[in-house]
Amino acid sequence: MRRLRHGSLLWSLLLAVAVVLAGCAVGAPPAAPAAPAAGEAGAPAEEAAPQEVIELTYWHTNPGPAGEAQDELVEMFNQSQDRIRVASEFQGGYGDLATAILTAFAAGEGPEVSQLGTFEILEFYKSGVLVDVKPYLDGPNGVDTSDWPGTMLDAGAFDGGIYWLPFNVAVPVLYYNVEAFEEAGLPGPPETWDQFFEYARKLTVKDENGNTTRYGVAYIYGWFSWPLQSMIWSEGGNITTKDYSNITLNDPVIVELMTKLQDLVKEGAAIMPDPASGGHRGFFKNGQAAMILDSPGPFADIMEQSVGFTPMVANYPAGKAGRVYAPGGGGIVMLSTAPEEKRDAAWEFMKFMLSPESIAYYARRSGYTAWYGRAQEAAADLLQDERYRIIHEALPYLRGDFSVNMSPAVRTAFDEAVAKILLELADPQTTLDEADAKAEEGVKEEIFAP
Amino acid sequence: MAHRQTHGSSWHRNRRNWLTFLAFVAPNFLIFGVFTYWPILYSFYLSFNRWNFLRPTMEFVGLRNYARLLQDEYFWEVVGNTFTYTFSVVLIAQFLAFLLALALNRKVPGQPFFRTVAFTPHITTTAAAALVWVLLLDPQMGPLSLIYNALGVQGPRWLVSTTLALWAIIIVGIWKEIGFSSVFFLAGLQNINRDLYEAAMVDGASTWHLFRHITVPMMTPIMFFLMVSGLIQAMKAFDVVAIMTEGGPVYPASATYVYHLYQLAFRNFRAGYASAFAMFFFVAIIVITLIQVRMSEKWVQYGE
Amino acid sequence: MASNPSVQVQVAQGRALASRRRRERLHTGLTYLILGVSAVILGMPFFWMATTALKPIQEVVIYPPRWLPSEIRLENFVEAWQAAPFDRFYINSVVTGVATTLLQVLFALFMAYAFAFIAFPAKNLLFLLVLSTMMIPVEMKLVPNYLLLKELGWINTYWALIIPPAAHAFPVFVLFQQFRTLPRDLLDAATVDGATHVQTLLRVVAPMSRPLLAAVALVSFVGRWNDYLWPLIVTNKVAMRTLPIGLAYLKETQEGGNRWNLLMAGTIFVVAPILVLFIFTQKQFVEGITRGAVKG
Repeated sequence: MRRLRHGSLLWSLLLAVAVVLAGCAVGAPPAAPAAPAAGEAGAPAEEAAPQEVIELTYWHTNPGPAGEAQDELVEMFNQSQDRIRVASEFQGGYGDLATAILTAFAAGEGPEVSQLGTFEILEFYKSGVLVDVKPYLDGPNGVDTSDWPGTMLDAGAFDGGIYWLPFNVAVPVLYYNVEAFEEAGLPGPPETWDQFFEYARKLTVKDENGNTTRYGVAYIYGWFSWPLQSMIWSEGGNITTKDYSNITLNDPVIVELMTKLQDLVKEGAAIMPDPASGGHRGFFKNGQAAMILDSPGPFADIMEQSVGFTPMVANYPAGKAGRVYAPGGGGIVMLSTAPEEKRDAAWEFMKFMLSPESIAYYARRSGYTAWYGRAQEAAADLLQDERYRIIHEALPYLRGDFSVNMSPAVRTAFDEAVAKILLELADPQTTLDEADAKAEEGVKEEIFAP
Repeated sequence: MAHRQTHGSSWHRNRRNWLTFLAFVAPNFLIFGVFTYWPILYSFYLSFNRWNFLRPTMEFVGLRNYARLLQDEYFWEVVGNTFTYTFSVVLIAQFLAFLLALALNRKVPGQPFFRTVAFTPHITTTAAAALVWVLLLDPQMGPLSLIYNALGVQGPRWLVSTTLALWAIIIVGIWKEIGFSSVFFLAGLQNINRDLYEAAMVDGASTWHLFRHITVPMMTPIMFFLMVSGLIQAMKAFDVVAIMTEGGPVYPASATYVYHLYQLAFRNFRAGYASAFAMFFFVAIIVITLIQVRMSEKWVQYGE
Repeated sequence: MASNPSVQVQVAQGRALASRRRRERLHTGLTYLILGVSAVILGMPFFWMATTALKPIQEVVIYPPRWLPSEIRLENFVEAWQAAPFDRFYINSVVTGVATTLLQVLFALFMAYAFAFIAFPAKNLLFLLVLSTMMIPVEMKLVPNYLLLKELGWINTYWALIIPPAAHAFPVFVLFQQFRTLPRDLLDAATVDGATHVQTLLRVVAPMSRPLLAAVALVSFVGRWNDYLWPLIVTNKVAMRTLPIGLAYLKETQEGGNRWNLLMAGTIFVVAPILVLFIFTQKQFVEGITRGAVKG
């Protein structure tokens, strides 16, 4: 038994030694991390195939039907020609996908083409992970972008090149409870944000004790900053410039909007529900909230599962600056680990994924939009549905600017401030002032510091 | 016990034994060396650099990452959270586990069933357990809402409350730990020599006296073992946070140290800075273990 | 003074007996109370997992919730199964779990034996170096490990899932604790008979520790089975991934939705095999893992 005690002394000793050992390592720095790549990889596959079939790998996210639809598209591409074979791999959520690219790239390998969310675009571009596809886009085998909506092409444009192309595009959608609107004597969905706040109050129903039985609106937990961006832009506010030289989380427009949103919560006209119950969507489907600000993603679920009322879709309201909407979803990129000789083939595949037929096919299966003109023509059947038509009306107003998402410092400061104001009911002005200072401080540490 | 011979000339005499020893420990040490020790040294090196895993070169910044660490409010918040989490889980789980073990130690009918139920949380996949708990704690869909209803109160909204979210995670930690610790306590209780009790009973000692002066002291080595292993486990908490709160509702209200480290490295691409975090963690865990060992010398009783 | 001592003793004994019985009953009541409350609290998640997995979605989101489903909906399991290639995940989890477990136990057996019985300089120090590996969170080691595995060409192979976790300090520690309690004479006898260390280990020490080995193996297996992050990082092909990742896929599929019934069906895929394994081996398991620590 003394042994244990004896061990304890040795513990101390060992740990001391470990620390000293660790210290010694400074003198002998480990080899540079970036591993040389490509050379030996993939040899067996190439030997096995005597024809010059080019093997590509494509990584994607969006599980469920949306993910399967991507696998199907890849299969269609493989069937359509015999020069290029693409292997499609699902990598999990957007975050998991980015981590997978990160680790693979660090080791000098990875897929040639990948789907990519919006958070990592700038970091990856600045680190040389992404290939400039502008030459391909404008080249003889290019893609006609003349009917791409809003400024979507700008989203992945940096320093004269284009590094990310939109693929699965979501637009903001306001879902509303038709019967609740009729009950409250409202003519239709709100046309302006001022109406939105007014309607939210009118739609609220309370019992005799003053407890809310139906909220005017339920806010999204966790990513309310997304609908908020559309609000802010529509009202003429700004969150940050694209180069982060002027971060304005405490823009008066933002402060005013946050105050109004918070007032609704204080009055019992709005709630940010727990994520588990399906969050805001659960509240809407159960008739506990008359409006939600969301994306087309849950469209099918909401239509199918809403009980005792008619759910309907509308565009987000307009503000003083008209309609300016923040896009959601993800895009498609070519990775710089792709060897030169495979890049033409990689572009061929990207072009296929972006073709009107592919985008239309994807929209049908996934709930994302047929987001540009010719894709909508190809998806004409889908758009016969009044509700889809309304959803697609938002497209021309998209602003291709993911600068809030792309800087971890700005993104987290903004998200935290929003949660603090709407959940903890913190004072909007001081909270946003603090968040602004924090974001400005934090962005200095990032590689795209202004 | 260990090595009492003089070391100087012993290689020749002991060559065979030493070679055997080396051969026996080689596979594990090889793997540890490659997959544990080296990464730590590498992290140590990274912690003096600014790098995002991706760029071809890293920038040497000296001690700046460490200096920043101390001024980083996230750092202090996640340290505080981890502290709260770790000590709450370990202390509360130990206390409850001890009670449970005392109950299990009475060989009542059905005892094996209860023991099985108690232990199952520990072997349940953390990710799966965390998912179920999200559902259980939900103020609307969870069974707790029936209780709130019956009491006519508004249930707490665990996961969207900045104060409660961390406790939701702690509850899951405790839930997983109780059965595990109680099984150890139970084994310890069953190991106590009956003669000790009987001797004391002859002396007319009360039940409380027996408990206080025989049971508890005899259990201190197990408490110590469980506390050390529990602390190390708890400090590494990651999965539950990732599934239940992602550090929210207002980050980092419920973020633990390791979770924040992962976010820094793999979501914000701050490899160097995250490595400084990692090094600090490593040192902290050493210090805490040392403190525990020190403290244990005061209160752990090693009976024969 | 002449009162009958034997009567007094009898009375006292009777009183003591009665009070002891009363106390006994109280204790039994208390015992069941503690056990009952614990079982409800500790078992509730499993109950909720099972009932939710059987409910139709409308009954999952209903408020107030229902304890039991009005109809048993087994289709949930079919739908969950189809949401991700669970058959493949099962095979991968079993193969890598079993292989890693065998190696872990084998390596630990040799290492624990060496530390317990073979003289070597600075042995305690080395032992602590082994134990220290338990303190390092995996998250800290991911990237360097990934780079190494890449160099070895192990990404997307069973090697990556099996070899790095094959060394683990916990089984070493537990076996070491057990070995120290083995009677020295037995070992000395073996040595006198001229047995080598390998022979002593395999013929004497290992057989004597058989129940503990089973327990340690089970702990190892459970650890591998439940691991999420490592397989996520070292594989990037669906065909190479394991069950907990399947669960994550299922969760992603629910993106914002609330198909909790399917998700719970998925958790049952992951948790059930381990629970069954545990229920059948629990006696060995519990006795085995406690032995090392308790006797220590």
